[in-house]
This record gives sequence, structure tokens and C-alpha cells, in this order.
Amino acid sequence: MRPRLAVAATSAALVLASTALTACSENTGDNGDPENGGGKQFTSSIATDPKDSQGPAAEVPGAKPGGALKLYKEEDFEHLDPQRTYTFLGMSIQQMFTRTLTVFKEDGKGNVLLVGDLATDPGKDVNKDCKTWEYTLKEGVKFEDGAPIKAADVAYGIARSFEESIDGGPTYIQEWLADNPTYNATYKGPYTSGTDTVPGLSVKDERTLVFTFAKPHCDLPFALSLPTSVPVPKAQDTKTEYDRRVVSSGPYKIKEYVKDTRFVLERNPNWDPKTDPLRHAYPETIGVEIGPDDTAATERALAGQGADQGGVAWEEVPQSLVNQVLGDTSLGDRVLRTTSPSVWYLSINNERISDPKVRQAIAYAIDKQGLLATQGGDAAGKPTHTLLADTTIGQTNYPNPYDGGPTGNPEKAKELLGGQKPKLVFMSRSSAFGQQTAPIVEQSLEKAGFDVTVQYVEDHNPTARTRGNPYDIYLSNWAADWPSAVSTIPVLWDGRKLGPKGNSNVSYFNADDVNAEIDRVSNLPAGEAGPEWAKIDELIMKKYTPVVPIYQDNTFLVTGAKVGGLLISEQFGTPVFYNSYVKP
Amino acid sequence: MSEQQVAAPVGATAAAVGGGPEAGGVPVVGAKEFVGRSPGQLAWLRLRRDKVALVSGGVLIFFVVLAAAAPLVARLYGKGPQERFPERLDRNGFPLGYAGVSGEHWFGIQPGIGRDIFIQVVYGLRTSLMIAFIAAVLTIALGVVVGIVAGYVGGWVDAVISWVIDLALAFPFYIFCFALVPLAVNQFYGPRDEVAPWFRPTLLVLIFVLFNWTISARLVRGQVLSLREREFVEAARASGAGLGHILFRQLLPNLWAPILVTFSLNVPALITAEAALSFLGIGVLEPTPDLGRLINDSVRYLRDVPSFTIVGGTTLFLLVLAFNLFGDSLRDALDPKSSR
Amino acid sequence: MLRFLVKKTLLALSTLLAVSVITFGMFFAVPNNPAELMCGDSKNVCSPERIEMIERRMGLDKPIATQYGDFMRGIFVGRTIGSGETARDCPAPCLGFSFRNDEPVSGIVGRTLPVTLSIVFGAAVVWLVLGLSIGMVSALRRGTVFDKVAVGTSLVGASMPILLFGPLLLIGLVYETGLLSYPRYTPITENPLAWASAMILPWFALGFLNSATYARLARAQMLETLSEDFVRTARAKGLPKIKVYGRHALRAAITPIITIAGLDLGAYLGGTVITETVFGFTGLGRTALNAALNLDMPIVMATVLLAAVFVVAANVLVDLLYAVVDPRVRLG
Repeated sequence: MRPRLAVAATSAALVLASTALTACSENTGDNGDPENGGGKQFTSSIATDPKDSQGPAAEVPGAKPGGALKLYKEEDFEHLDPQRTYTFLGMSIQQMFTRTLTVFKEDGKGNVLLVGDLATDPGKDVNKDCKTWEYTLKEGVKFEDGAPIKAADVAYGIARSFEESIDGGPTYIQEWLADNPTYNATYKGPYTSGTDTVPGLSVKDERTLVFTFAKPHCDLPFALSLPTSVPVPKAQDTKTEYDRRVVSSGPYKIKEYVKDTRFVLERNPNWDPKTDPLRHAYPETIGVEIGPDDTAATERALAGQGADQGGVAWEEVPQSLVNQVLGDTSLGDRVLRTTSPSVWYLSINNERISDPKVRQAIAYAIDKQGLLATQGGDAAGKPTHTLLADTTIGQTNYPNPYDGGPTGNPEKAKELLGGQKPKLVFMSRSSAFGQQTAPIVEQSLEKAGFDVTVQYVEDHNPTARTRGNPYDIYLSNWAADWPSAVSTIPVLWDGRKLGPKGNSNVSYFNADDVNAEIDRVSNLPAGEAGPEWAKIDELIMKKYTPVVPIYQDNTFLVTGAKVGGLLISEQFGTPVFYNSYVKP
Repeated sequence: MSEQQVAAPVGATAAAVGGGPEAGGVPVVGAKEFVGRSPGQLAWLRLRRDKVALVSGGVLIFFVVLAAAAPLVARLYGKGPQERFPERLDRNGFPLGYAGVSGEHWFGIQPGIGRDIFIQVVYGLRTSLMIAFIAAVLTIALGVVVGIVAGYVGGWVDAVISWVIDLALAFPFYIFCFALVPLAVNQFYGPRDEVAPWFRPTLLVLIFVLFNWTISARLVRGQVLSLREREFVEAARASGAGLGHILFRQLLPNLWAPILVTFSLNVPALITAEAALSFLGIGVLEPTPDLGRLINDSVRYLRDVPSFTIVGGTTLFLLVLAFNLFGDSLRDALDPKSSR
Repeated sequence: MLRFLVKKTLLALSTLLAVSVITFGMFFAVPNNPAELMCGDSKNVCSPERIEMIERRMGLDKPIATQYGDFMRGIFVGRTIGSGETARDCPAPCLGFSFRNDEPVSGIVGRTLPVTLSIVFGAAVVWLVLGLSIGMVSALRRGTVFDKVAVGTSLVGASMPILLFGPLLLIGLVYETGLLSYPRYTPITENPLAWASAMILPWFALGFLNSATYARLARAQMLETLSEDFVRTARAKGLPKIKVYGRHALRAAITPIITIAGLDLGAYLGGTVITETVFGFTGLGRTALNAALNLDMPIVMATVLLAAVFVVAANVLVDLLYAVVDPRVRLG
């Protein structure tokens, strides 16, 4: 074999071909606007005018029915069973085939309004003490088989959420009804306890449902927007199998679901737009294609070949394509970018690192800008120092008590440590995200004099959620379930809720004064609570520093050329599809 | 290159076997030559006349030296593999200027994390070559010993060894890696212990050996089967030579040619396999630099930071190509009858 | 012949048995209890009773030998998994039940295996046709420009890892130029045309890169055979070129190629992890990988066994084919 020239020529051709694909241009650093998609003012409120809760929703200008909307997503939904759905992506698609008692209506300009969905209004606080709430169902709401949706169906959905095998969903309503963090101590759900009657939840008549709580819960209207309140017809409840075949109550119904491959929705003829204040059903079908990763999804939406023109890259723009997307001005409104309610923290295991000085030193040392740069820098989010996301009602941007600047201040941290060299074991995911971020955390802490050991694990969540785990620090994130701090502060920072496993409070923080404050503010009327929650945020950070908030995420994605009316929900931090249509 | 590293060298090896059982170099002596030369000398002569061998050999030596001298290179270059240059990145984590290339950073800056690409490649090369080389040496050593024993002793020993080889070949490689790696880490280290930087590479080497020895064992066994009935072996046996003597003094010298060829073709296959493991996220982890992971990162930046892809990709490609070319030349030199 | 077959099959079965025992033993040794993993990820407080319930559901409370026996029996006669409220019926061939996916493993395999089969068989056609024809023509036109270019290209191909080649193809042919659309698997039964068009990229990528090995092998074999006496005799007898090369020479040269092709096919059928990952397919390989990561033992067990069956079956088949193609080989 004498392949000299041929090999050289072929290799050269390959290199040339790959170079030809690349446009060599200088990066002067001025791509992307410093606005950061976050220039908007957020207002969230509960609708007081019952007209807001009435259908039909106003037509979207320019929208035409028909076409196939395509969504690309790398991994399958964890659950489709509404009572087990607890990811924003899951809730976003859930919205298109099921309905809840209340729902958030957004205009894409920062105004978020909570309205009644199945219910005629966002709820009636019967005695004005937030302890008794009454909901009346609209007339003419039906399941996909044409059967009317009754109050008992909503109650049954809530009842089955108590069941141990129906796990994974939000637990606010269960905990409030049982008045106990271990909500299934007495009532264990319809399969186990043998009755559909949940203590505290009564079906007054066919269309009326009453919640009675031991303590005031002014946020119930918000909590009912979570899919816990999706009606489930008892006769068609297939228990854990319900996860594959959900009975539709919304504008679409499930046409096909092939796990890990595709999920297709088609229009539900028994959905009456006149009862729905929010949704349209413009596309003929909505299909989720499962498999393409963030790069493939974004590239496909950008290239827009054939059916991809009606495609939405549901995976966000990866860092590697940020400048491609921002640099292409012709994309126009195909690029969607907005602040998401999700905040990333460097969680510190407070039961291990009990010296607040050490935690403050970590806060000083950490290189937030460097971490953010690995995820796309300004395009991916903004550094933060508050526990609450700035989309939260009442959030204040108090001065950072331990401000190390955007890239960290190792000198200041060293000073606090006073010559100590504490050992920190950092648990990081072995995924791309984990391997990109771990070296930055490690380096910035070691510069400040810490002795850092990185441990890569496949999935850090179960371990981090277990009390007494052997790790000191880990990255975690939290996105509020609704715009009030009730879905953040009491969930993450009330130490009395700590259990052996499955904790959301992964820094294992527990302070009596904070717990007392949480009790005080929980009893305030909804209108006054906002700024008070923000004070707790500041108190926790200043006095205890149990975590280091790193950055607040942006939602940043692209769509194909024919997708219209797509809205990124400020609430979910992910696109919602009730206004979307496919251009002919 | 084939996807599963176990299958990759099969074809190449078979090509070596295809040269016939005479490939051992014994019968070649002096057909047309007037000067008496040993087969080894002949092969060396042929190799030296082969320009492809010279060039690919030169490229290999360059890479090996570069990898071995990585700390020295870093010292001269003035930057370490872990050093970051965030001030050379824009707001979105992209290198400023033309992919960040400058007199300071010859091949530019790695996006996101902001490291120097050149020194990453040098250290990545070091990791990849080290794993591939050690694994190849151990693979061959184990394969040769097992193969010689199975082929010469025969009988039930051969049957058992052949069965074990079949068994090892039946296991899907990647699934096992995924399952084995965390298992092994948990076995040796507690959750709070620092995992030694050599541990993961060593683990990879062991896994490669575990899955790869079968190929050289099979090859050697086949060769020995045909050699053992030869006169010189019978002569040794008749003169009362011990088993060890026959196996390692009589048989082994006749196996060097196929062994060398297998080795030179095994190394590139292992380099690709190691890169593939890193691609899947189970190979060498951050912060140990690694060529496979680097390339996986770089391909996505092809349009914005082309130097990244070209440097990383070309290095891996050239490395593997040079090994393949050199392996071919070596085979030609050792066994002039085959393929020419 | 029959004796040979029986002996081979028995050997193959013993290999499979060993594979199953080793795999089962290994995953039993995993320190993390999968029941605990499943439990801990929920927001519910995970009580010891709940762990116990999941263990019961997954059958983890039984001794390992019993679990293994149940698994093996399930393959042949089917079984019921778990007991009471959550019991699941799993008819033969029962490969177990993935509680993580809440689905029988046979369903998962049934869904993902066709993807892998599509990739592998198509790619095999590409690499065999491409490899054999390039190799043969190179051998016959030895020393010409064609030979050099072909051999050179095949070497370059053999040196390109698919994890580099695949993304380059995607960027060059799909994202930038739009010559092809992004591969999207459609079952062949649904739309053969869509199926084929989705497969072009993986077929080409895997096929081209693999063809290199075959081209080199075919060329070497051809050259070797061409110099043998029977070919020279045939040519001297005045038989037409095409008949000599096509029938006599090719037939002799193809035997080792069959061996390699069979082994390669067997190995690939167990999953083409990298090709699947690069092109976004959910085939057997990626499924197995995810399962191994999530400690979803039933899926891992099933895929490992299946892959082993393919390899072992390919081995037996290759031995048989050998006898058919090459009359010199006698079975015994």
C-alpha cells in the first residue's frame, strides 16, 4: 500500500472542508444586549374581576388554525399523570390537555394574572381569614369523552395525590389539608384508605368544592394552579398506569405516546373554548419529539428544514450556540429570551459546615461570573445574591452582605478563615454541566485557602436530599411554583420540615428565629406579606448565609420560522403553548 | 473506526493473519539475498526504505515526545493546564478576537471555561497516549501468555481458555463500563476521600485489558497451533527441552511480527475507545485534561471557535492515522508476502 | 454436521448462562439500593415502609439466587412480578419489569431494538458493498491512481472517530447547507421512505468509517488469492476474467471477510451507543446506557443478555457459513 499522496490530499480536504464551514470573524465582545432580557417589570396579581376568568380567550392577532407544532426535547417527561407532574416543562404541556381550578394568564409583557380555569373565579375566601375557601365549577366543562366535569372529579384528583404510589407531585395542598408535613399520616389516599373523602375537602354539590384549613393559607388560589387540582374521573383511574393515558379535560387529548420517543396531542372535540379564559387550540397537533439534545434542538430550529419550521427548541440554547443566535439579527422574534424564576445556589450542608464564618468565606470566594460564563454568560442569566428570584412578589435587592464581587474575593475570604484550611467535599454531577462548573468552584475556593475535594456522581439529587449525607457543598436550584415567596421561603428555609429523606431544604438549615418569622408572616394577609418575606430573605442571608445564591437563570430559546404566538411564561420560565400557532 | 473498540482491531488482526501462518518470518531467509541477514535486519531495512513509515514514525515520535514533555512545554509556554483566562472571554463566554488566538495563546482560548487550548491539547495527548499505551502493552502481554499456553498445551486447557475468550467477547463493552466504573470507585474510596488522579485512568486501563486481551490471545493461539507441529519445535521437544523453554524460547521469538503489528494497530483503537468513553461521560473526568472530552466539547464550537475543533480534531485524527499507517508499514516490512 | 451444530449450540448456551450469572451477580453487588434511589427522589418523606414496599414490588427482598431463578424462568414461561395491589403480569418472554419506566422490559426492547437493527443492517450493507468493491477494484488495478486514492481514503476513514465525523456531517450536511434533514426515526412499517431517509446519515457515517477495514481486508485477500495457482490456472485455461475473479477468486477471498462481518454485526447489534447518541436516536445502546446509569437492573440485564445472544449467534452462524462458502473447511 502506498497511500502517501492520497492520504495527505484526503486529510487536507477534510480540514479544508471543516474550515470552509466556519466563517472566520473577529469577536469584539459586543454581541448580545446588556439588557439581558430582564428589563421588564413583573407584576403578579390575583384577578378580582370574574370576567377575567371567563372564556373565550381573545384571539391572537394573525393566528390561523391548522398545522403541526413540534417541540424538541432531549428527555421524556418524568410523569404525565397530573398528580405526579412537578416540572415546569411537564406542567407546560400538561396545560394543553388538562385543566386546573385556577390558572396563570400572561400577556408576555410581564403581567401575570391568576384567573379561574375550571372554577368561575380564583376562589372565594369565605370568612376572609384564608381558612375556608369555596370554588364553583363553570358550566359546560367536559372530559374528552363528553362527560361533564364535576366537583367530585377535582376532589378525587386531590385525594389520589395523597397515595404513596402517586408520588412526585407538589405537596402543598396535601400538607395544608392535613396540617402536617407528613401529609399522609392519617388519610393515605383512596386506594389505601378506601375512601375518597379527604378530611378538610368537601364536595358541597355537583359544582362546588370547599377547602377548610386549620391554619390560614392565603396562597391557596396560587397552589391550585398546580396540576394537583386536575380532575380525574374515578372510573377511569388506572392508578400508576394513569401516567401513560391521561383523560383529557383541555383543548387537546393524547393521540400517541411512545415513551422516550414521541408524545402527540390532537384536538379534543369536547373542549369548549367558551369556558376557557386562556387557551386556544390553533395547531392541528402538538408533537413532542424526544431525543435531540440542546445542540441538535437549537440547530434544527435555526436551520428550519421542512417540518422543523414549525419546531420549537424546547431545550435551551447551549453556550456553544449563544453567539450564533445572538449574532444573527435576521432571526428577529424567533429568539425568545426572558428571566426565569429559577435560581442556582451553591448549597452548603449546614449540619457539617456549622461555622457561619466559613460559610461567609465561601460566599466571598465564589466566582459567580466564571460559573455563569460556562453556561452562556449574560445570555444564560445574571449573578444574584438574594434567595428570592426577582420575579417574586415583594422581592428586594438588598445590599449583598458578603460581596466578593462578580469573580469572588479570595483575600477577604482568607481573612475570615484566619489561617484555617477547612476541607470541603464538593458533590458534582458527572454530566457536562457538572464537569464544566466543578473546576470553577474548586479553583475559586482553593484560591481562598479551602481544601476542596470534588466528587462526581451520576445524579446528586437523591443524595443531596438525604439528611446526614457526607458532602459539604453542591450546586442546586429552585424555581418558585408561583410568584409569591410562600413557594420558596417556607419550603426551603423552614427547618422544622426536615425529614430523613426527600428534603428540599438541602442545606439542612434550621434556625428558631427564622422559623418564628415564617409563622408570623404566614399569617399576614396576602397583600402585606410580600415585603415581609423579603425581610426574612435578608435575615437568613445576613445572619446565617446557609447557601450562596449564584445566578438567576434566563430562559433562552429559538423557534422555527413558522412558529407564532409562542410565549415564555414568567411563571414557569419555559414556553407555554396556549397562544401558539403555525403560520401556513 | 469501528464503534466498539473490541471489534476495531479484528479486521486489522485478521489481515495480519491473512498473511498466512508463515508470517512469523522464519522461512523468509535468503531467497534472493546474497548477504546473510537476519529476518529482523531485513525488516528494519525495508522499514527504513519506506517513506510512509518514516513520516508516520516521525509524527508519532513528535506526539510522544510532546506528551512526555508536557510539564516542560507548560513551563516554557508559561501556562498550566488548569490556568484560566476569563479576561479573554466576552460576556457570553466566547473568546475575544479571532477565536482568542494571539502570540500569548497560540491556538486560542477554550470557550466557557477560558483555558488555553494549546496546553489543554498537549496534556490531553499525554492522558490519551498514556492510557492507550499501557493498556495496549498489558493487553498484548496477557494475550500472548494466554494464547501461547492455550495453543501449545491444547486439550482441555485450550477448550477452557477458548470458552473464556468467547465469554469475554459476548459482553457488551460500553454498558459494562458504565456499570463498572462507579462500582469500582465506590469500592476503593469513601464519599469524602479524594479520588487519586491516577485512579480513573488506571481503572480505564484495566477495563480495556479485560475486554481486549481476547483478540491477541486468539491470534497468538492460532499462530502457535500452526507452529507447534513444526520441525524446530519437535526438535526441541525431542531433545528434552522443558515446557517453559519451548513456549518462551522457541515459540515466542517467532511470534514477534504479528505481536508488533497487533500492538501498533491496537494503540489507535484504544485511543479512539478512550475518547469515546469520555464522549459518553464515563472516561477521564475534569480537571484531568483529555483529548476525547476536548474534541467532544470543541465540535459544537466549530463555527465560532474553529481553531478549537481543528486543533483538537486534527491532533486526534493525525495521531490515529499515523499509528494506522505505521502499523501497515510495519506489517509490510515484517511480512513482505502479505498485501504486496 | 449435526454433531457440530449440537456441540456449538451447547457451548453457546453455556456462554449465555455464564453471561447472565455474572451480570446478575455484578448488579446485585451495586452498593446503592435501587429501591432507595427510587424513593429518595420524590418530595414525599421516604419512610422505611415505603422502601420496603418498593423492594417488595421489585422483588428485591428475595435472596439473590431466587431472584435469578425467577428472572430466568420468566424468559421462558412468563411470571407475575411483585404481589398484591401492585402485582404485574409479565407473559413470556418476560425480560423483567422496569419500575422506573413503569413498563415491561420486553416493551422497551421491542421499541428500541428496531432502531438499532435499522442502523446496523443498513450500515452493514454500506460498508460491505463499499468495502468489498473498493478493495477488489484496488486489488485488480493495483498500483494505479484509483488504488492509491481508494486505499488512502479508506485509511483516513479508519482513523476518523465517529464522535468527530458524526457531528461534522451534521453541521455540514444538515445545519449549514440543509442538504439532508435531521434524522428522525420512523418505523419501516409506518413509512418506508421516511424510515430510509432518516437513516441516511447514520448509515453513511457508520458504513463509511467501517468500510475502511473491509476495503483493506478485501484488497489484501484478493491480492493473495490472485497469486494462487488455481487462479493462474483458470486464467491460463482462457476462462473469461469476470468468471475467474467473480467466481473463483472472490469466493476464496471472502471467507475471512465473512468472519469479521459476522462478528462486527453481532457486536453492533448489542447497541451502537455512539452513533445513537450523535444522531439522537433512542436505540438499544442508549437505552442500555441510561439504564446502567439509573441502576435500572431489569433493563441492563435484558440488554446485556440480548447483546450476548447476538454475539454468540453470530459466532455460530459464521462457523456455519464458513463451511458453506469454503469447501476446504470440514466440520467436526
